Amino acid sequence: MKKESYIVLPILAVLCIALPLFYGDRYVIGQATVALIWATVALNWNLVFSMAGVFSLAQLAFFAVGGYTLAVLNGHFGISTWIALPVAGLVTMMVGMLSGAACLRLRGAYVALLTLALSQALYLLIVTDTACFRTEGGNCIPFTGGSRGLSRYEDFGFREFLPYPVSHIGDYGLAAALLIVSLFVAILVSRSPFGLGFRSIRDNEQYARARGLNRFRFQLSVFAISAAFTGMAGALYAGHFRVMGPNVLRLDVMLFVFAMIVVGGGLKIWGPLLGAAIITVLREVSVSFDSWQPTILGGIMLVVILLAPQGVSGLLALVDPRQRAGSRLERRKREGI
Amino acid sequence: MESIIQIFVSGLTLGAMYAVGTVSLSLLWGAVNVLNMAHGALLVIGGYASWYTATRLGIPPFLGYFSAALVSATMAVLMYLLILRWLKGRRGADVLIIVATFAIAMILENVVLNVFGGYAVAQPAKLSGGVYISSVFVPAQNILIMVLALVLMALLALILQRTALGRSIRAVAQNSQAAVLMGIKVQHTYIAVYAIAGAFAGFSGVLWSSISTLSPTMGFDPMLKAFVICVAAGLGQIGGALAVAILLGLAEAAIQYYVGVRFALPFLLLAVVALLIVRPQGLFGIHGKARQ
Amino acid sequence: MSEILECVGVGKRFGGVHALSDVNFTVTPGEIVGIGGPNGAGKTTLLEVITGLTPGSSGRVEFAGTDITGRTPEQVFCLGLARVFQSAAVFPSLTVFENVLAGVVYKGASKPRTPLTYRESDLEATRAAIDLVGLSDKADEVVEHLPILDRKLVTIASAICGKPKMLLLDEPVGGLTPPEIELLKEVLFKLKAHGITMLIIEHVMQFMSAMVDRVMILDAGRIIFNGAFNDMIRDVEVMRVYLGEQAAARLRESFAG
Ligand SMILES: Nc1ncnc2c1ncn2[C@@H]1O[C@H](COP(=O)(O)OP(=O)(O)OP(=O)(O)O)[C@@H](O)[C@H]1O
Ligand SMILES: [Mg+2]
Repeated sequence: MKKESYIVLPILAVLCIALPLFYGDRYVIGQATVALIWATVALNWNLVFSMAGVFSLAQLAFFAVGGYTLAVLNGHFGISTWIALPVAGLVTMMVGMLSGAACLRLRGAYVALLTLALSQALYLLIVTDTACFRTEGGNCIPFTGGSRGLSRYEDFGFREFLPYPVSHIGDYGLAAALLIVSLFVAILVSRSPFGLGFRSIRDNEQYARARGLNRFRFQLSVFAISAAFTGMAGALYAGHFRVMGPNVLRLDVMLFVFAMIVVGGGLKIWGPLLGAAIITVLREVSVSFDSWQPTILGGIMLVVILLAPQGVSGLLALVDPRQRAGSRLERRKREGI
Repeated sequence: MESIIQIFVSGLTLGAMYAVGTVSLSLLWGAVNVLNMAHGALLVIGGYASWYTATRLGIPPFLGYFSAALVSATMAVLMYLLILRWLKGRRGADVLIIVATFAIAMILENVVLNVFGGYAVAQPAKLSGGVYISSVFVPAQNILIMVLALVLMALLALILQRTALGRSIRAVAQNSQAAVLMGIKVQHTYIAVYAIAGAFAGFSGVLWSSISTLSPTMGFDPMLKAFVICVAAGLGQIGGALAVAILLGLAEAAIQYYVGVRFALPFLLLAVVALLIVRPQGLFGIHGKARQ
Repeated sequence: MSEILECVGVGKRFGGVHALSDVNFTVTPGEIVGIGGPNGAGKTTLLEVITGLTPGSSGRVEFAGTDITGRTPEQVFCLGLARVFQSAAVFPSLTVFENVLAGVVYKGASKPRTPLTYRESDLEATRAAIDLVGLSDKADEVVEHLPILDRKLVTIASAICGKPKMLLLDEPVGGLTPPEIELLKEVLFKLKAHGITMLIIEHVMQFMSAMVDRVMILDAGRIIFNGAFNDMIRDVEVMRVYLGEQAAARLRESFAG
C-alpha cells in the first residue's frame, strides 16, 4: 500500500450523499447500508493484510464481538444503543489487541490457522450456549442468545425523530459516517510515521528491526485500529437488523467479505470499497441463482486471483503510465531478462 | 475401569481418524508448502463419492473407500493443475493459496449441496455389530477404522521411505530447486503429492461419515481438527502429527466424558492457541529462522 | 584511547556447528577494520551476534561503554550501532525516500517522536543522507525497481541517516562491477571523513586494501589474523586457508611497498 491521497474521501462522501438523493428507494438504501457496513469491515481487514502484512482471519470474530456487545448491553442491561456503539468499539479494540499479541510471534499460515481457531472457538461457544441468563415472558434467553441469537433489543431509534419518508436514511447515514471516518483514519495512518513503520516491517521484518522498528507496538496498534472500527461496524449491523446471531462467524460470510478485498484489490486503500460495491451489485444481479451464490462468488475470486491478482483497483492503476512502466520492469526482472 | 476402556476406545478411534485426515494436510504443507483450506471439501467429496457408488451405482459398499480415494485424489490433482500451479512463485503466494483453496472449498461444498441436497444421509460403507471388551461395547466400525488407519499409515511410510517416488517427495520437500538440479521431475512429484493427499482426504471422509453422518458441511469440523493437530505438531511434521492426532483423540474423549461435549473443541482450540503463543513452531517444529 | 566496540570470548553454536568460538577483538573510535575469511567462516554470524539478531552462546559484547550482550536489534541500533546487511536488504515496496526515512523516524525510542507527522529534522536528515550517497534524483522511485548498486546505496543511506557512531557493513561491494565498486568506495570515504567507525566484511581485496586501517581474518569461527593489511597478505596461515598461494602473490605484487 503506497502513500494514499485524501482525494478518495470527498469522492466517497459525494457518492454517499448522492445515492439517497437520486435513488432513495427503501430497498436500495437498505442494501446500501449493509454494503457500507461490509465495506468498513473489508477496509479494516485489508489494513491488517496489506499494511501490516498479517494474514489474520479473525476479522469477523471482531465484527461479532462488536455486534454482540451492543445486543447484550442493550438487550440485557438496557443501556442505550448510542452508548453501546462506542463501547462496542472499545471492547473490540481490546479483543483485537489481545489477538494481535497472541499471533505476534507467528507468521503466515500459522497466523491464519490461529485466528481461524479463535473465531471458531467463539462460534462453538455461542451456538452451544443454552444456560439461561434471564427469562422473558417464559422464554429462556442465554447470555449470547445461543444458536438463535439475540433479538429483543432496540435499534438506533431513528424512526422516532426522522419523519416517515426518510426515516430509513438514519442507519444509512450512520454507516456512511463510520466508513468515511474509518477511511480517513486509514489514510492518515498510512501517511504517518506509523504507517511507514507498518509497511517497513511488512516488507522485511529483520531489516526493520535493524533500523529500530519494533514489531510488537506496530502489530498491536494496527489490530487495535482495525478491530475498533470493525467492532463498531458489527454494532451498527446488530442495531440495523435488530438481531445478532452466530451466523456472521460462518465461513461463507468470511468468504463474502474476503471476496470484496480480492476483487477490489488490496494494494490501494480504496480497493476493498470498490470490491464491496462490485460484490453487492453482483449479489443483487444474481439473486435468482440464490442457491449457487457461493459457487459464483468462489468462481469470481479464482478468476480474479489468477488473472488480476491486484484486483480491479490494480487494473485501474495500470492505466497510470508510471505504474505500467514499473510493472513491466518487474515482470522483466521476474523472467530474468 | 469401564470408563477408562470407554475413553480409550472412542479416543483411539478419533485419533485414528484424525491421523488419516491430518496426513493429507501435513503432506501438502510439508512437501509443497500449501495450506489447503479445501481439505474439508475433499473429505465431503470423498464421503459422497462412496455414498453415490454404493447407493446409486450399486457397487458393493466397501469399494466405496476406493471410489472416495479416487475421486478426491482426482479433485486434488485438478485443483493443482487448474489453479494452484499458477500461483506458485507469485509474491505473497502462501496467502493467495489460502484464499484460492478457500474459494475452491466453497465451490465444491456448494456444488455438493445443490446436487445431493442438504440433508444428512447415512454412509453405507459401514460395518454393523461389534464386540464386548469386559462390559464395554466396541462397534465393529471403530475397530475397522483403527485397522484401516494403521494400514494406511504403514502404506504411507512405505511409500515415503522405500520408493523412488518417496525419495523425490522428500527431496522436493527439502529444496525444490535443488531437486530440479538433481533431475527429479518436480511437476510429476507435485502431482503425486496432491494425489496422495487427496486420496487420504477422501478416505478420511468416508471414515468420518461412517461414524457420524454425511452432509455437505461435515468437512469443516475434521478440517479444523486436522489444522489444530498440524499446528500443534509443527506444520509439515508428519510423524509428529500422528502422535498429536492420537493424543488429541484421547484428550477429546476424556474431556467429553468428564467435562462435557460442549467444551471439547473450544478447549482444544484454546489449548493450541496457548501452545502457539509459547512455542510458535509447534511441538515438533524446528525453529527455522530466515537469514539475511 | 578507549575502544568503541569490544568482543570478549564471543562464541556461537548452531547445534553441533561452532560458527564462532572465543572471538576477542576491539575497535577504536574512527578506525576502519576489515574482516575477511572463507565462506562459512562465521563473519555474518559475528555481525548477527553483535547486533542481537541471534543471541550469542557465550561471551560479552560492549559498545561505547555499554554492555550490549543480549540486547535486541532495535536497542542496539538505537544506541548508535547500525548494520548494513549482506544481501542489500531494502523495503522493496517503499520509495528511496521512505526507505531512508524509516532509518531515522524510530531511532531513539521505538516510537515516532510525533505519532502522526514527521519531524522536520528527520526529513532534513533523510534528504542529507540521500544526497550523500548521490541518489537525490531517484528519491521518489520505488526501490524494488532499482539496480543492485542503488539498493546498496539506499541501505547505507538508511543506516547513516540516524547518525550512528559505528557502521557494520557486510560485503558492501559484493556483486558489483569495478566501476560501481569505485563509486561505493567514494561514498564510504565520505563517511570515513565524517569520522564514522566502520567494521567491513569484504572478499574484494582491492577494495579492502584501499579502505581499511586493519584487517582481521576469520576461519572456522576463530580469528586467525589481526593486523595490518600488508602483513596479512604475507601471513602463511591466511594464505593457506583463505587467499591461496597465487592470489596472495598477486596481491603482494600489486601492493608491493
Ligand atoms: N541459522 C543458522 N543455523 C545453522 N547454521 C548456521 C546458521 N547461520 C549460520 N550457520 C552456519 O554458521 C557458519 C558461519 O556462517 P556465516 O554466514 O556467518 O559465514 P560467512 O563467513 O558470513 O560466509 P559468507 O562469506 O558466505 O557470507 C556456517 O557454517 C553456517 O552454515
Ligand atoms: Mg556472510
